[in-house]
Amino acid sequence: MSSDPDDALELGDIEPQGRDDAYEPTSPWWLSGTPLESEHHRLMRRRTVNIPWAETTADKLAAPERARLAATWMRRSEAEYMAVSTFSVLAIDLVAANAPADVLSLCLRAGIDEVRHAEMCLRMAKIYSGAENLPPPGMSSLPDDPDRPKLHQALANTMLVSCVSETYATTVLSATRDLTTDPVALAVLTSIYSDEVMHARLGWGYLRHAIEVGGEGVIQAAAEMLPRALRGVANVVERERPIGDVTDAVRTHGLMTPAEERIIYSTCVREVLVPGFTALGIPVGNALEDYGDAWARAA
Amino acid sequence: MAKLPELASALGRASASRIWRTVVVAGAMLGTPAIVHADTKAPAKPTEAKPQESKPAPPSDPPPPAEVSKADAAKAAKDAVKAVQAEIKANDKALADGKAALKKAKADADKATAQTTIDDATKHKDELKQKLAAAQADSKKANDELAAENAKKRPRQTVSKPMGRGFILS
Repeated sequence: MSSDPDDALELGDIEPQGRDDAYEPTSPWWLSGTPLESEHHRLMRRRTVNIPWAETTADKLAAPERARLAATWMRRSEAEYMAVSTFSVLAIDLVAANAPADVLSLCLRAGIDEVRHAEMCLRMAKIYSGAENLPPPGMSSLPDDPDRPKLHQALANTMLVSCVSETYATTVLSATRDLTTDPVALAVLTSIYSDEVMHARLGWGYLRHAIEVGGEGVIQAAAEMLPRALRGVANVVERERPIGDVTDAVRTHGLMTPAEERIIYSTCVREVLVPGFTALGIPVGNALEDYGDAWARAA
Repeated sequence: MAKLPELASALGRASASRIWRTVVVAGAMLGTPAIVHADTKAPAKPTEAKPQESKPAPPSDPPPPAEVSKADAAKAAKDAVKAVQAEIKANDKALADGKAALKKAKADADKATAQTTIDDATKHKDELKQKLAAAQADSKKANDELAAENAKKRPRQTVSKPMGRGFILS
């Protein structure tokens, strides 16, 4: 699927399976100081998105604007860091459900991608704040019901993590890239976006596979999970934000306002998620009403 | 900034269209026929789908950790076995002491006392044997239940409020 020329068009100049010859260690202060570092760099050097770190336009921003951006990029690093454990836990569910090998390898690779994303976000935070911070420790939680079939468990969490969360992430990243002009922020968002496309496809591919293998029971399990998955991402969208205005200048460094984010989530539910689940025969309940215009304009 | 919602709508629609094609259609292979597995039913058609309640499940308190109570029960049963074994040991000692006292006794009264001790301990030994068998049976049952519970355990706890992991935008 990744060889589709339309994909290349949508991903800009990214070759999804290519390597980044311009790679340089991203956040060396977060490394172990052991020989593991060289293998780590080999794993991180996978995308051909060159990040022109020296070309940042951060010095043209006012101090409050830099502080606002530093806070958001730090939060992004925390979220990406947590996603490492999210995909790790999801991999356990997929292994337990005897998922196909390609699904397993992509899921585990997604965890590695999230390490790279967290590194890039940390470096972005440093660009705006000057501080070499680390993401705080934490672990992702995914729903667990030991009494249900393992296929249903894996499917439900794939829907939450991949079909809904990552698909929304690609939508919001795509929209944000269209506003971003700072070359470093644009390249970082593009790099993350190119990975998230595959993370989201992983979910839709597995969903299709699971339906073909498990039939009606899987559809029922998916229908039961859908409102929880949509609410889970809405919880993220509705969270409080760092202090500081999102000025026009800040927007060119890869930020939107919470109000805009609601509109994009609502659009994603209406034009991507609901049509996708419906096409696979999964009932979507009140999703359109729950995340319609009233919710989108509530911020 | 007043035009931001309109801008977001436009950007959102453009992105949604892009993602619909590159993620959902490509990922779920929409438009291609299902691969029919001989032993499974085909997925339901969209038109057969019934509307369902889509409100999130109300958060509920996490269920009591059943594996802890099973573990406690197994431990209690094991302790009960140990207690009976301690009683048996004490009774055996009383029996041995009684026999030693009987050997040493010269007066009739002393002999009678020692014999009583021996009789009581002998009688109690049979009771303790039955008690030990019952305690061991209880312990085995508790251990079996604990093993069954452990077989269900997952490497993480249940959560009632899942949090998506959408990219943090702002």
